[in-house]
Amino acid sequence: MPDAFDLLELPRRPWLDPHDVRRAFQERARSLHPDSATGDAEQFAALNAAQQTLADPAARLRLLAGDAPVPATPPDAELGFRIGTALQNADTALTKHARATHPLARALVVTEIARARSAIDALLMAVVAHQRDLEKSLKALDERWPDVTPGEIATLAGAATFLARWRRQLEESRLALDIASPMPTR
Amino acid sequence: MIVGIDLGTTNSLIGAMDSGFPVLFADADGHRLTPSVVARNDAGEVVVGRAAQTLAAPVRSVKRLIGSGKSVELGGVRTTPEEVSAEILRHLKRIAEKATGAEVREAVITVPAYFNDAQRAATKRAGELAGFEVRRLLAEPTAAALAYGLDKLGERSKVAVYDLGGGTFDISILELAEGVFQVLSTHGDTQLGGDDFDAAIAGEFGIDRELARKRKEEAPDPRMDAVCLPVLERTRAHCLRALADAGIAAGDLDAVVLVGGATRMPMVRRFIGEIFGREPNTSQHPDEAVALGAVLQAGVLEGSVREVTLLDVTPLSLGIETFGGLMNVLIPRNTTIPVKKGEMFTNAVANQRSMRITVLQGERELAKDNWKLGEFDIEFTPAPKGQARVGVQFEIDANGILHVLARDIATGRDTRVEIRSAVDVADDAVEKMIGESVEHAFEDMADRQLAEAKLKAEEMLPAIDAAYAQLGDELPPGERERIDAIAESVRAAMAEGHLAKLKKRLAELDEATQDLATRLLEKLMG
Repeated sequence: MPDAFDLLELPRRPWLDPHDVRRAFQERARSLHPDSATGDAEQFAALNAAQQTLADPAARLRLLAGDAPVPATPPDAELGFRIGTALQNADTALTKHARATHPLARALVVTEIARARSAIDALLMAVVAHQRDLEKSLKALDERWPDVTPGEIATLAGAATFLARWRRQLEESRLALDIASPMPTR
Repeated sequence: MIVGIDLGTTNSLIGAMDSGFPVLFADADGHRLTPSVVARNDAGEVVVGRAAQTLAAPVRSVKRLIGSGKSVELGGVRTTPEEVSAEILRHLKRIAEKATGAEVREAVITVPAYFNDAQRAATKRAGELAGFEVRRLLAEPTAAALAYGLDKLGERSKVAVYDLGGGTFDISILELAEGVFQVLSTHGDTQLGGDDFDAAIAGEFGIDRELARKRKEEAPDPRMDAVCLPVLERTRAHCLRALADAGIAAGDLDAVVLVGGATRMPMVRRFIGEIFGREPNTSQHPDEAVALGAVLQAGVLEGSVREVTLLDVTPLSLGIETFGGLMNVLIPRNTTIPVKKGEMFTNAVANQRSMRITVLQGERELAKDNWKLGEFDIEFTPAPKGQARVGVQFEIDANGILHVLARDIATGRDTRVEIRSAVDVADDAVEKMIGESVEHAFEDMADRQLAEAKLKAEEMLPAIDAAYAQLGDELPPGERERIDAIAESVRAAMAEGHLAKLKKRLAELDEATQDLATRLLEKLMG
């Protein structure tokens, strides 16, 4: 059965440029979308699923890892703990902010929001740095492909999964803080 | 021929492709825009559009109720929002049939991008009631993007469509790629629109809504802008979320396209310019772009418009309720549709015959905070624990409507699962609920107001102490004593449980602490 790489006719490699994935999808969607005269609902559904898999590094690596077990432990437990705490603090500040109806009460929460925001920002930078390192490892792996050690891809898949989840959570939180209390513009 | 229809909150339009060009049809009086207003005349006949506006008790903005399970009253007869919408659609159908001289059977109907499953299904039902085969429900901002991008089919660009209509707001981010229109993200509010500006203006100036609407169009002034700004502010968060979900910054956009009647207001244009950091694109007709897009999609479906492919997304995450009352997301928001997602269910105990699955739509973690789409039961064949397995396929079609298929793994048999809707509350049950709440309203009111006032006092009193702690000795002499005296009187009124007194004292405290709040904010913001 053809997998995501076959359907999008992209090289079965650990590193893929996100733009190439989107282009490959759009190119094939043109003829496979059910609205097109040559379209087909089943084939489009498969293409759509393939695109979702390849556009997400974690899902792509899990596909490449095949049967190898993907570790369910975070790549950096200490960072994971700090993220959990920061998200919780941000949540608390946001709840207080939502409850505060009086300008005075609201002003008091502003400091708490600002503190939560800078904690989230620092962690977001740390996660992005990790993701950049991961990207470097993937490109390095791509260079020596298909020369990989057993379990190497599964380990990277595990790390990518955690980093993507953390980034999503931190960005959501950052956005919620921004919406509640926009940064003062000078 | 397939017609394209913009079924708007305030106005509706219909059109079709004619010799390769999208055309909107005019009624006998030459109007393309039909007010979405329905009424009954003295003879009891249903009247739609301009003629209905002058009749008694016309139904307006029925789109705001569609899919809600609520009923409406049309000329003394209780009916559904779908029926009223169907009347508008029948009227449009007649306009199209008169203009083309042929029978019209198939239609593309636009819906707000942020409409949920129930609102979409109800709109489709309205179309069917009016005698249409509904070939597609098309998201309004996507339709507008199609109208905008038709003469740019060779280009690659990223655009945002900001669509603020009479009753709904959508923001969509799209990539235009050589004829492929791919929606990257969409956000919105199906209960926010120009109607809310009218209500705010009417409240501020003590005038009726119709007058408010006229004044907004004819003579906007700073006081009116100030009243409308809080309503407009509500669109900001949706714009930021849409950009974040698309994974792009405002600066990456090639254009911010405006549609919807409310985007004519200069203050709205200024506001959008500020959010996106660029002058918005006003090349599209605010009232007609969505209808033209619907006509173009009709052209795609009938094969007269080639070189165009629309890839839309589902606006809301779809999931199921898990043990512990959490939502387990199966299809995340902003996933390209049509999409399918399989999920395997196994029996939790031996010989379990069925399992109830609750389907949810929304972005919240707790199941109860999301919109309950409906429930269905899956049947197991008798087997030891964990041995009976049923695969369930969740499919969101190109209309954004959910279908569920269950496959018995042992027999390989597929069955289409009927989802029992959660919103179809019977009318008399609703009436009973309303009746009960009215009866209790009087005694509730005083109690609730006192509870609210107490809550406010409990929020303010500690806030004052905290503010003192932050500001230290930066207060002008005498201010602290002045505030403390009023705070003391608030405590006394609270202990007494005297509503009027407490409200008065609280208002005084509000006034007295204004300076304190400003001072504190200045200090904290540096």
